[in-house]
Amino acid sequence: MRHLLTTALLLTALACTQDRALETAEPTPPHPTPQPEHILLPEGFGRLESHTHLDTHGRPLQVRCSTCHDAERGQPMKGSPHLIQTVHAGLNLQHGHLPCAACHHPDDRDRLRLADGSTLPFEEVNSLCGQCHGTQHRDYKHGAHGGMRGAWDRTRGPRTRNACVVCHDPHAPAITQVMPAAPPRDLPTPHDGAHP
Amino acid sequence: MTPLTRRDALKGLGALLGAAAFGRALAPLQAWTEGLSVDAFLQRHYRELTPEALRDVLRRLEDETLQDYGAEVHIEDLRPLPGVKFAYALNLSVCIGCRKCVEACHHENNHDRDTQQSYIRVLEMEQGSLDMERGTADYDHPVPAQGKYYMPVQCQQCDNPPCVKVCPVEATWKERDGLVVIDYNWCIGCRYCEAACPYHARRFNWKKPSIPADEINPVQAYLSNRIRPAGVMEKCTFCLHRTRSGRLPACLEACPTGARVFGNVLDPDSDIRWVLENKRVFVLKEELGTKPSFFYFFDV
Amino acid sequence: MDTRLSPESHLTTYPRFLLSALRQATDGSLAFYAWMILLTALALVGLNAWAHQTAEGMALTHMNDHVSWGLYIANFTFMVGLAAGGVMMVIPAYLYHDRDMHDAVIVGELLAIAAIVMCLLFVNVDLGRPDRFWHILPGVGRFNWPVSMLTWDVLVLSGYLLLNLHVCGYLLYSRFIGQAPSKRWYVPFVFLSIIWAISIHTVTAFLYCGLGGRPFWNTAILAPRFLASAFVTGPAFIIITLLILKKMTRGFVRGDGPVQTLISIMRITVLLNLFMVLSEVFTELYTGGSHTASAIYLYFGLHGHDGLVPWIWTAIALNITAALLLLTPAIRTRTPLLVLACAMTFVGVWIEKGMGLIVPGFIPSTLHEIVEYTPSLTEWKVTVGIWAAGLLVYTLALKIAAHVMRPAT
Repeated sequence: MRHLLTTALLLTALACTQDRALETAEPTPPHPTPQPEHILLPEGFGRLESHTHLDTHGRPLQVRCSTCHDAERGQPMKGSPHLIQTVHAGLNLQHGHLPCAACHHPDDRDRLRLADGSTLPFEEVNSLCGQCHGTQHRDYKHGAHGGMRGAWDRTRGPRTRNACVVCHDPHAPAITQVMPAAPPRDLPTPHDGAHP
Repeated sequence: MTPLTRRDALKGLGALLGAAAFGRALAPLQAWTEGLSVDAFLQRHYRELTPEALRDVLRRLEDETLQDYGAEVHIEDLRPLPGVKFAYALNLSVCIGCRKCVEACHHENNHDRDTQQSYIRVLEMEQGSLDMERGTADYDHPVPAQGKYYMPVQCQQCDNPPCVKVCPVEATWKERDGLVVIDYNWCIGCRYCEAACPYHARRFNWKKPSIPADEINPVQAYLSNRIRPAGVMEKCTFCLHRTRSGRLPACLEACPTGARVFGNVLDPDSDIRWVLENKRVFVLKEELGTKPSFFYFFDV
Repeated sequence: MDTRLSPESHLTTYPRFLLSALRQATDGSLAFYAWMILLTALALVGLNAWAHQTAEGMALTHMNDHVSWGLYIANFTFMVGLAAGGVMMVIPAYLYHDRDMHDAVIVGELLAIAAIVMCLLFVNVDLGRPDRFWHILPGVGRFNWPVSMLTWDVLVLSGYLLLNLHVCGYLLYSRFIGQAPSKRWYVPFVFLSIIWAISIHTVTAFLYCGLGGRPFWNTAILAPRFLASAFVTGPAFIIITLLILKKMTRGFVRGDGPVQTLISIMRITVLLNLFMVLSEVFTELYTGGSHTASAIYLYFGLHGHDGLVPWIWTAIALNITAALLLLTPAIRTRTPLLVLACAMTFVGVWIEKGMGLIVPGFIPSTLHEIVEYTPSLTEWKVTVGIWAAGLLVYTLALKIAAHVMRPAT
């Protein structure tokens, strides 16, 4: 019986010898060095959008924080958002019990501040988040958290990645509910949504 | 010889009428056979085509797409990359069930618009249970819902694929980079593979797909997203037309949360390897011995 | 009678045999013509429906990506059983030297031929691309043998068709030229066809029970169950045929022996079949868990979906009633009772093995979604058409056989 099976298998193997060799694909030479990874930031991140003024392209005018918060005319940083009554009034802060200065540099408003007191440009915000959210930051660094586009291997092409703040509003980082894309339409009979 | 009797004459008349009725009954096939070219009918299996024959086939398929759909497309034959075996992992703690991947697959792979077909199905599962019996695929309310988690399911590109085993004509097979593919021009449409797949990963083209010309994705490959003919099986190929040229699959790029991780499992520095080595991953229906190349994990 | 024909004379007698068969096939009473015209018309309706289905796509059926096999494959499975069951009566005839059965054997073999023809038709109408049929031909296409069970099915079904064509053709031709058939030329084939009959249904069961992703089919008892039910439907159909033949032809079927033997067989097989169904149902329901979902759907309905419940209970009621009827002594003498019992169990097994086995294999789907299935009008038309074509083949074959085998006057 075993012999019979082996013979049968051999026969089928023979029958397949007419196949062309598909596995000898010409190797695409990967780039010797990994291609850059571009970190995508939300439009206008680290700036304030004007509700009244437009720029020359007709878009809302964006101003740097230091426009108001410079060293001389500096507004002292408030300890908590509900104390703000003017420009940033109504800011929704739901991020633990953090004061503004936990992230914003009190003396240099165009930058952020790490826990060790060092300054950090807005573009590198991921490291700031990573101070507390270590596991997420670790996963992010290994491509296991956060949306991305481009090549699956950076030796094969560049890659664009979302900064943490693209999906998580730094002031209220919890993901909010969204309506999903349309459900499948291949169920001919109505399907009861909730099983008992 | 007996002389021709009345009975014989009647028999002849009956046979004539029968033949005419037979022809009438088969009349609907006429338009269908006109749409079939001799070249298409006689086309050999993908793996038997010489490079020249394959080139002709690709050009013919491009012409057919232009004729049938009015769209100029480019169909390539992409081979497995040496030293590459693809694997996919999905973080169930991060997925919010938004079906953006479903939608992206629908457009990327030139699926039929009428049925909103896609290779991905997202199950809304109950917290604390891995029982699909308690999941639903047709939820339509804001997500993520309280007490639920979401499990997208697509082809698991099994290393021991039941679908490949059952195909009577070898129209589906596993490539060296781990992808299970179909020669849409060889499949006879018996749907045995659809019965064999434990993951609902295979789809049948119950009719000719309808897609407006301006919505057709023109970047196509023979084994993946070219518009499938009616009456054949189709399946997810991890977007072979993208991934074999280095790009990420469409479902991954569409994922807003980064729940999806894709890469070369043979590369020790790849993201996918890191996930497989550092996360508690599991596969669906492991007890069936299908050895999926698609992994799930929860954040720890 | 003993004068052997020279090989050359076969060249003239064989065409004469075929011509006579053709004449027999096209000559008959008014009732015969009416029956033939009815069957032809139904077959043409089916052919037309199939042509539409092929041209417009299988969306004309109610199958879908959840229930991807339906009425066609259900009928296919049932017909394989009928084909295997047709050869059942060969066993007592040859193994136990039952003289009476010998003449009736040909009825079973002809049934096997007609049933196999229907099987092949049912598989073909289920194909999405019938134009690519040649892909499955060994040597020409790519035949995934021995890995794919479907290739085994192709081999055993066509082999079985050839075997039975040979046995029937040889017996009839020998009779036609007035020679006693040479044992060498048919007895080995008859024995082979008995084994082969078991193989066709075993392979067909393996087609389903080898699929790990479909727990409802993934059971070792499937092949034995298939055989048990085949040995119910085969004899049931042949009993009815024999009773009709007794009325319609003169002396083709002599005596009551074959019918009585078949009743004895059915008395056992009908109970055996019920016992196997019971074993299956017990294992499923007592174990519980999500692998039982299909069985619960079939017998009781699942989450408010109960499309198959009336079907399966009808089948069970029919089979139990038939079993009880068969056990009564009156069954041996009262023909109407016998016909009723045969018809009941025939329909009962058709439901149980067709719609009751193939469809619930897909419900719930592998992702546990519930999509119910009812055949479309196209599917019914095609199915009726194939049944008509099968009966057409069967009727003609029987008519030719009855003529050739008629007792010399």
